[in-house]
Amino acid sequence: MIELLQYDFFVNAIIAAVLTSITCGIIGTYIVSKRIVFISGGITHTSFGGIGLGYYLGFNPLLGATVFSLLAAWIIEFMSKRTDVREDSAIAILWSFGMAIGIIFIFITPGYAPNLMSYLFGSILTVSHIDLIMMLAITIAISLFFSIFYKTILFTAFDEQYLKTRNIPVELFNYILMGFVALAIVLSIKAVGIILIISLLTIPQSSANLFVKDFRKILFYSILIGLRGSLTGLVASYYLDIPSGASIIFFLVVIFIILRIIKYLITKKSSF
Amino acid sequence: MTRVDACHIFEAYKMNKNKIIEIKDISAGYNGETVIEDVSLEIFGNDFIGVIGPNGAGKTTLIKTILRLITPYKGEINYIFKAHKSEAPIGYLPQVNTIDHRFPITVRDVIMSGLLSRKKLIKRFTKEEKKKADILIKQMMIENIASKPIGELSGGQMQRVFLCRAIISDPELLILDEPNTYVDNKFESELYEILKKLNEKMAIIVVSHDIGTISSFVKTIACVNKKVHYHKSNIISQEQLDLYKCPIQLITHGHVPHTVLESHDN
Ligand SMILES: Nc1ncnc2c1ncn2[C@@H]1O[C@H](COP(=O)(O)OP(=O)(O)O)[C@@H](O)[C@H]1O
Ligand SMILES: [Mg+2]
Repeated sequence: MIELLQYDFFVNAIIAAVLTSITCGIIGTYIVSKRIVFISGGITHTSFGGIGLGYYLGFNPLLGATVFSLLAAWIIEFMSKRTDVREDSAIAILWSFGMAIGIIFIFITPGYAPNLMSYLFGSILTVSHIDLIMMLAITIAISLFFSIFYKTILFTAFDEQYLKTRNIPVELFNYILMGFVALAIVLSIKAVGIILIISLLTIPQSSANLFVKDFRKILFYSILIGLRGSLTGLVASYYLDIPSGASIIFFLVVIFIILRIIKYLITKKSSF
Repeated sequence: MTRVDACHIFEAYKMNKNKIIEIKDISAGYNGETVIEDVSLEIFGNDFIGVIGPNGAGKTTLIKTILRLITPYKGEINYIFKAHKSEAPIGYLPQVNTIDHRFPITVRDVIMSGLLSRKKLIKRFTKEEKKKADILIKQMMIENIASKPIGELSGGQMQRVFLCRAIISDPELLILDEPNTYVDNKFESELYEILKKLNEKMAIIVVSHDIGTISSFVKTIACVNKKVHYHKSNIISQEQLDLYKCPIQLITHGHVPHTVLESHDN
């Protein structure tokens, strides 16, 4: 295994996996606690439109994905405040609209789109230095914001109405947080791809939630579980020559199943 | 207590003129639909108002308007609190079904959230504030559940926790929206004793669909059914309810301490 570390691309992949685990650990805990997993799915798939646009106009597709997912996040946040719009239907429309735009742009782009699969299914072994710098910036921003405003974020996610009665600028926080959700999603595209992002944001949290029921603990355990799953998945993908994104998710699910069995054994034992 | 007594008390404390909220002619609702209409109401520092009315009458809407969660279509509300405006000196216990009981948060954190204010968005809670929570936790006798996630509580425990959150900031007005749903009778009578005590320090508005139980604790009654009729006594008869177009039945179940309901014959 050590010999892998002499390859630059593998070291980059490990750094990317660590950054992704930290970001998804934090943002995923927020998403799962606040029950906005479906919204995150909508943002993820809308970002594909930006990737297609990037291909067509010849700029970095991840930049397009950033713009599209930020727009999707804020549009959804805006709509959720209006009671006359069916929020879930609106998200579904954005979801498929983003995918449709992406497919159309890629289709009309002359020539073959070689990296398309890497955006759909991830390719952590090909992260560039620029990707890494972008990921590092997002991870630092999210970690800082969450450590500075931890209690406000927790309380807003739990009971928004109550905080409004206490004059807290809840709306502003929601928009900022949705922006971070969008950025976390863009960051994860490289690691596992659009199709699999949702599991990176939910499996570590569900695993942690088997044993702990406090936001802060779920957050830290999710990061650890995410690290374990993504590093194991990464190494396995190299040796078994399988796609890294799928490999990472596979090992995350394996961890979840093992923890679920452990929990079952513990509760069974204690019931005697 | 006779009706004359009750009216007398009401006049006496109204003399104090410690008005904290003045609601003038407001109409409010959702998406352009009017739910409450032409409501005027004055709330004083030592009021204990019972808000009654059938389901969907607009009780919660009235409360949300007072809490500034809803902007009224017309009319105005003046707040004349002692505390500075940004302090938001209103404690609120929302209706049970509006809260996600499976959210991963501990009882202590829920209670501490009542202390959050604009000035404290970043700062950590101080030792004094944590101590305040400890004292309250002790008073409410919930020490044994303080570090539990809220998902593991019973209905009564849950209401205790949310009551703690509502009063930890020493509000000048406490608003409770149906605090007696999903709780056992024991907690309910305890709750009203606690509220009576709290009323010495703050005004209280309590929403209930069960007029029989609350009428012996509150000082005045507001009947809500699109319009609001303010009944400046805690004694109300079926005819008056009918007059206020407040289709609620005066049913008292079991023994109600010093019943203040008037039946048709008196
Ligand atoms: N968020 C909302 N959006 C649209 N209509 C609402 C909303 N909340 C309540 N309503 C409507 O307003 C009316 C009054 O509701 P509410 O004030 O909750 O009544 P109560 O608390 O007296 O049972 C009901 O018809 C209800 O359907
Ligand atoms: Mg209600």
